[in-house]
Amino acid sequence: MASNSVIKPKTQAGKRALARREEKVIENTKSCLLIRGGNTSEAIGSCLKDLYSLKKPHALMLKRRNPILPFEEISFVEKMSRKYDCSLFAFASHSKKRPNNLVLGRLFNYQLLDMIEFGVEGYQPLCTFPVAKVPVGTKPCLSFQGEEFDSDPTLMAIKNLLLDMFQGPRVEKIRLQGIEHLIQFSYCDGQILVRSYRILLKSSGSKIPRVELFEMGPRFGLRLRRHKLATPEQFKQARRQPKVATIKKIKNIVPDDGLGNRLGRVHVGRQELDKLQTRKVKALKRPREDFNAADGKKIKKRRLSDNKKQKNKG
Amino acid sequence: LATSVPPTFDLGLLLINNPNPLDPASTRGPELEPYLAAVARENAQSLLSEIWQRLPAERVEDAVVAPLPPPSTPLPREKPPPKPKPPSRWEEFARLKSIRRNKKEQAVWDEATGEWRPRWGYGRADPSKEWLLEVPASADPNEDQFGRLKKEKKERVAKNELQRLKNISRNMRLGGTLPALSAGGGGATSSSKELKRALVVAKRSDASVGQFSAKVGGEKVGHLQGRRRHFLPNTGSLTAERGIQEQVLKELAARRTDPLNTERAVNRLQQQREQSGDAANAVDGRRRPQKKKTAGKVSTEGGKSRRQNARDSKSRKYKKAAASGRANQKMKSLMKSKTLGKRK
Repeated sequence: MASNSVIKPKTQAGKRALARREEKVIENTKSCLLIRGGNTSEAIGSCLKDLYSLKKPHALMLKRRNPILPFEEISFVEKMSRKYDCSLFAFASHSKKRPNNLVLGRLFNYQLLDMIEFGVEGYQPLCTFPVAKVPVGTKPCLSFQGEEFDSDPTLMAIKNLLLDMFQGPRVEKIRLQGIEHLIQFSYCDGQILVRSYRILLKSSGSKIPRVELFEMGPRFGLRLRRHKLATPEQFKQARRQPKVATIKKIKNIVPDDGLGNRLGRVHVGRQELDKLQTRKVKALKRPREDFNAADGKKIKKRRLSDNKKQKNKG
Repeated sequence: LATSVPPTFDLGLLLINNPNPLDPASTRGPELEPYLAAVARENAQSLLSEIWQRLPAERVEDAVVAPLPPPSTPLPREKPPPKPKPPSRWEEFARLKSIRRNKKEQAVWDEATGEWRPRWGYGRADPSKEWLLEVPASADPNEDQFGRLKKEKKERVAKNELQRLKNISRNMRLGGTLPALSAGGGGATSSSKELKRALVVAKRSDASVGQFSAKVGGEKVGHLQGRRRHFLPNTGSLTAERGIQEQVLKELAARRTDPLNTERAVNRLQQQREQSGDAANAVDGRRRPQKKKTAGKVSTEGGKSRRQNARDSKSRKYKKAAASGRANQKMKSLMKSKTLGKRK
């Protein structure tokens, strides 16, 4: 934490940058780091650029070539992720053994969580589609077609990673007219076909609009090569959520019974009525002999003055 | 499109999961793209219907918005959740005394200029920028008042910095980690003892075992703690060296109860015999076609059966191994105790 470090930031900009990087309850949108390998073909280089366009502004493209092998030595990616504060990465390379290679991965606490290597096939760039593109920063709709995404463990992990990669910014409310982008992932013959469409909402007879799709690009198929998935323990640790203070429900009190009255039930406890200490009322104390005698006769009330007379007499 | 299994949704991610497989016939050839587009359209329509039906629409200014629920698909976080910061010494004190923070107003009335000035930031009445300072009655008339103010400010800043660092060290002690020593997720060095231990370990983890590392203040260096070998000087008493070597040889000689290893000699002989294929001189009693005797061969002590021989040889092998093992161990212990280079 910035406030817990020995070195204090000297400028406001530095302070803000550190505050952005620190651990938070509600996190920032995950940024993607796009890295070019030692050798790239035109196709895979262009594919990486398209990915960058799709993920803008939450993406960072490294300019230089980096001849690294993520599956052998991941430390470079981890270092860069720490430097640029990115928790997703895409690494593109091309070799004879692995043509048009794309490694998609993510990190937890700047350490590798999981990564999957794909071979990109049938790639068509963004610019070849004449359809107008969606604005930058649009939250896309995601569609996964295929039973394997729910049954096969590797494909389930791939789905989770693709969701993380393409979900876009986390929003509380969404403008219904702003649902403009759809990315479809379909599993077919060992390939994941990725298609990206622009949504146009047309008025239909009912309240729900009619959807029309126009393929906006890019278009490619991902063939699974190698993978390095997180162990269940690692994933569980990465999933740990902070304890959020919940609003405590007040029991027993009805704030408003509809008439503006606030009702509640008072629990007094057990009471022994004959042993209660109340105000002393003499009238209640005297046994009522005056009116009710054993023989039913009415007893005359005695007055104080009568007592005195008797005294004087006797 | 016949959908056999209905799709599931995660509206927090605007996600639709359609667990139906693609029609294999339609995914071949030029029909692939239109088919995929049709499938996508169906999915998009289902998703939008779900959104329109499930989420309540609100109006914000001139846009219709819908609040999104939190995502139901488990996605990992970017970083671990933040740890609650322990309160500083002042915060603890304030809590006990129930001292509350007074919100100060931004503007302060400045007598000198006769106007409202901000308390901090641009345009504030900075005491260090005063052009005139009164000399207090109790002060030395030759004392530099401006210098005094500057010095006092420096002292205050330094004190505040010290308090801040003390708080940080308290937090570290109570449950944080010292970043320099906990690479790769190491445990908390909570006590000074652990810190000292870590320093010792770090120091001796180099090729020269920390001999040339600078000594840190307050560090107690063990006497030749990491040194592995210490040799006696090459020059010196020749008689002593000779004596040691003689002792070694004596002990070696004493170990060997049997200077001539009869077992070994016999085995060797048998091997030679078997190789030459001499039936008469063979140990087993089976009749074999007689071969020419060669001169200089030693006869064995009575014919044993082959099986007996095998058994004997096995037991001999084990006995030999055991004996040699014991001898090796004894040799090792010998080497340990009496060598030219003394071991510490």
